[in-house]
Amino acid sequence: MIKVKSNLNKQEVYQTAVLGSIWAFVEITAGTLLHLSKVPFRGLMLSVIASILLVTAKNIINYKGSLVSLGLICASLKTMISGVFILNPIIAIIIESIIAELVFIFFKNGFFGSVLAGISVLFYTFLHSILAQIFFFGFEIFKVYESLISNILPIKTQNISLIYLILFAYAFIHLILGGLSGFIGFRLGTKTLALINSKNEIY
Amino acid sequence: MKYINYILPVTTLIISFIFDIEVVTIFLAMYVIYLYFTDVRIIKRIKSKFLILFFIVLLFFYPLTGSKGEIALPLGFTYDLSLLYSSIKMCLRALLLMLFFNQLILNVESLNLKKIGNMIGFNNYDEILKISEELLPTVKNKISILIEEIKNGMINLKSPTNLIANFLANLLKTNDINNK
Repeated sequence: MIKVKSNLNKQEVYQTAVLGSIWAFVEITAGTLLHLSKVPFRGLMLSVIASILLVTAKNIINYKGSLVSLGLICASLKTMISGVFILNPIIAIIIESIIAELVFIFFKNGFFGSVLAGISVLFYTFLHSILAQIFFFGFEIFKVYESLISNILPIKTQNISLIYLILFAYAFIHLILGGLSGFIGFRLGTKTLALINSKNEIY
Repeated sequence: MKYINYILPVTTLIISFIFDIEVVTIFLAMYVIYLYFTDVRIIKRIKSKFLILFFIVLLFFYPLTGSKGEIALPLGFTYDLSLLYSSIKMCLRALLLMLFFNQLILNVESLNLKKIGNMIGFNNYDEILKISEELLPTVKNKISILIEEIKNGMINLKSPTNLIANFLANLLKTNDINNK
């Protein structure tokens, strides 16, 4: 069970608040922009942003349960500012923060843990999209895809179904993007922390 | 009325798993009529272009790929009725489940995030939320300034990581925390 550190100090409170408001701002603006633009893979793009932010945040605010706290603050701000309660994105924010927190509990916030957290968040996005299709249309949806794709694309595969190859490629793209966002988050987090800790004037 | 909003979608969902396509179609029609008169928002929520396109693909293009091809069409195409039958089943199932979830989602008016926070021992929830709310205009303003400076070429974009790290560090600096 995830538990948040009981009494946060002033610095932890302030930094959680800042990172929470940054995440909420990005969620609201990027979310609205992507929603209006109707571009495909909107969920994937928002997940990449969320995973970079979560990994960056863990490298700055390293107390127990910091990412779940961040997720709750972001979700609350998003609800308050948009003025409407929309369950799906709120649930997604909280699940992403829980997944990242769990990875950091087991692997600590080093390079490996950061990359793995990024991969896990994006793998959740992949699973969510696949499971939603199976749930709404049934397993038969894969037969539909396979039949349509094999009629459109002149590709013949031996031993393995074309749809599994496409699914594998789709998962692979998510994992690569997850690893990359974890890496970016790690670099960003460590660099930011070093800058905060240094007494030098920034800019 | 409150309980009907939960009982009805659950009953319709169970029916969709037990009965055959004909019965499900009748129930779906009744369910849509009920929703139209009680809460039309639920129907409007599934009015997505992508979903309509997906249904068109399922109902018109998928049966064209079948090997049986009971109905002959121009240009040598054939239409497979068994695939059409399975397409209709898939569409009905999806429609029913989407209506079901939309009704449930709309019934959940809010999720008590503070309660979730309390459950996991997040004692500083109120305090952090208050500070975040106050900080949001500043964050928004600083991000807008940064974007404007990048657009005007005032900032070197050679290392985006350094740029964002500097930006974050500036916001997160806590040496003057008491003044903020």
